[in-house]
Amino acid sequence: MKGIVHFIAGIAAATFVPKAADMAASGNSFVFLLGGLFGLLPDTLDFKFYHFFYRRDRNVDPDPASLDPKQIAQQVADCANDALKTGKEVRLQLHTIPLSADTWRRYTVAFDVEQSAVEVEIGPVITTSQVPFWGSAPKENNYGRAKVNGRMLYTYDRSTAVDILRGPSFSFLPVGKDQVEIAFLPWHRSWSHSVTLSLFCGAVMWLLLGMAYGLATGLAMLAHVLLDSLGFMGSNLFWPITKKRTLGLRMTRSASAMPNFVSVHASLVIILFNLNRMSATPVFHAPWYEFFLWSFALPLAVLLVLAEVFKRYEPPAPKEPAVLRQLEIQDEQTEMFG
Amino acid sequence: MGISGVIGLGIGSVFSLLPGLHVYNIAGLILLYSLAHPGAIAEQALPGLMLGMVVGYAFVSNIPSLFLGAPDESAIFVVLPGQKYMMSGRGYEAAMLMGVGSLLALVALMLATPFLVGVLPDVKTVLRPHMFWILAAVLLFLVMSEWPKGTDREKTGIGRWLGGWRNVGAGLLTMAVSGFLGIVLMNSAILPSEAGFQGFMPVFIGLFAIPMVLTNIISNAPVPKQHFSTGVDLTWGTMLRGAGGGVLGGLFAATFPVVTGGIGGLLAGHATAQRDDRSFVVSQGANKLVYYVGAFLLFFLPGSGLGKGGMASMTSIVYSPKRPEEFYALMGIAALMGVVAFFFSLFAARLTVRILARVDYRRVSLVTLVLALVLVAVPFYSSGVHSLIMAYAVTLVSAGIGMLPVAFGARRVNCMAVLLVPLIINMSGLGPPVLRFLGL
Repeated sequence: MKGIVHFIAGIAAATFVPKAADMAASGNSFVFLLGGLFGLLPDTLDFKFYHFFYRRDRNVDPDPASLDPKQIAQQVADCANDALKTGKEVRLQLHTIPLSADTWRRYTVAFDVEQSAVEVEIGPVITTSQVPFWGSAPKENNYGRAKVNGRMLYTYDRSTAVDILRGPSFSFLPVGKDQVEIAFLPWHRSWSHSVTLSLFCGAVMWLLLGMAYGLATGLAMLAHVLLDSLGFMGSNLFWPITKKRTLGLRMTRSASAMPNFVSVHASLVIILFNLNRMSATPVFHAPWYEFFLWSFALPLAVLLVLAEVFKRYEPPAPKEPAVLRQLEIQDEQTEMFG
Repeated sequence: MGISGVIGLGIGSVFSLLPGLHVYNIAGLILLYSLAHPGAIAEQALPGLMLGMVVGYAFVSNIPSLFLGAPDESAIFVVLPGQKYMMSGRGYEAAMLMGVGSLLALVALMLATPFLVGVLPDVKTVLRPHMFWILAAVLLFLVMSEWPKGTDREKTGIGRWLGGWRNVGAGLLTMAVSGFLGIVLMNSAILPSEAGFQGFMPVFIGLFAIPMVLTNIISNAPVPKQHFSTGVDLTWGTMLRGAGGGVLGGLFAATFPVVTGGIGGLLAGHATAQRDDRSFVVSQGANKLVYYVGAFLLFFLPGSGLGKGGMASMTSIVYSPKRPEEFYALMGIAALMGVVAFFFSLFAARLTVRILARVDYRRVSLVTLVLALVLVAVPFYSSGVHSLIMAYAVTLVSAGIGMLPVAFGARRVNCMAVLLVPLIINMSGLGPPVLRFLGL
């Protein structure tokens, strides 16, 4: 989920704490701010600190002047093979291919689990907004494949695009003699996204500032872990007791607009409901189910219907939607000026 | 009301073409004139006149910001997709997209009127005692949502962390010094109080306009050939997603104090997970319209306490809304004027492209800079030389702060701490000790 979802969900979780709204209304609103802060804390720990210091054993840094997909595939496969050979974990960092300040060359790395192979495809030139340029994908020497000497255990998306800013990383962990478990972004959603750390942070804040603060911060972090569990990657829920991430429920994609928006909407409605409920002079007097029917369920139903209608009438996406395609059309239809 | 609206639309549209000039500056001068010459502008003509100006500004001011804000490619991470369109020769198309966003926002405003009238005042009543922490939460989110942008090629962890934190650190520094500047300016007599609502103009010109123009002059980036598109590459879904996000951001900015359209747009963009440049540009147009026009229209709902913004504050000095019918009449006028302003903005975009094709872009930027510096003097010229000197000193300091995010690839919206920080400190009750600590 996006950062704003976790931030607002953290605040929403904090509004369930008895006396929190009273405290906030009387000027002591630190408790809600802590809810937002701790709601976003797991991702802050991962993306602003931990990931920079996470050990990396191999780097794949393709040369834009002489791109060789077979060589890239072999480098990735070598990580799996070396993990199997040595019996030790190998961590890989894939680097992006910057071409200028706003253009990058996309390539994708796929794990063919059935055939035990790594596939690499060189893609088009894209902008930082990830819009590809029409016809910029190489016509030749654009595909490479390398064999892995064992079975791959991989549960995340089959292929991963390496395109803008920093690239993704993988870990290859041998399981027995002929199996290797592959983890996408192994530094993410590990200890920072655990129920145990949430409870620990809540307990520390309880001891330092009191029960309301402890509950608010603990609930906010738990809300983050819960929301992320709806996705694909999952989290290491009971670190340090468990060592690996538990698979997510695969209900949402973290970058999808609809789940993000619905989560923000739900959080805002919860905040409004709780603030009104705890107010000395409530403005809304409807029972909770009626309140949520009008403020959440009905708008959501309208939104879902609209989304479905527009999806039906949406023209099929062109094979290569692109900036240059747009300019080519304009060249034909419009007056050139300048 | 209708005729005055058309006159206002003309004034707002034409003056919005001048880079750096805000419609509030012109509205302020008109208001000062009407105060000095009672009866010169009829009381009942004022709402239409002001509304026309703000509608014209919401549509047409996109043009100078699109075409005169072209940075060189090294600054691409800090420019908005609208400027990226311009740099790829599609500035006219971006102007169309923004205009479409603004038109859709007008439709959304009309459709949302029953909700705004019926529910928003109640929501605001519930939230009123909590305004302080809501604003503090906005500031906290701005701080926390600036993510590292490095490419991770450094060999050591510390090296990678420092590389990644370059923009994050610059964002935090920008926020801190902007906030400090705001505290000092709001609690001292550096800028004379006679300037009233225009008093913060040196700060905004320094923080936002001058860094943009200076970047153009220094980079000397050539303006690419511009294409006059006959249509836009936009599906219904993309268009409505963009407009929806923009309207939400604009509504948030239009109802909460100090939250600007930029901040509202940023939050709504995150909330609706927008990644597509086209929907982002549409959302910019929608956001701007709701922020300016919506906030001003809500002022005409008697007893709602919903109006916000410079135009509402200025108008409230000489006019108070009397009947709800005024709101509905003005809503209709805004819709009609919006259509006219849309077509005028397209004409203005074509005109700007033609001018830019003939005149050296650097020269245009220099003229923009001179114009911005002249504007700084307008509210202060009558307060004496000392005030003028102080206004330019504040502009210089603000411009220095405004260059920080541009130079280090951080978000420019962090500069809005200049308003958020002093307000939050005052609302939290920490104002007096902070001022004592700073010796103010």
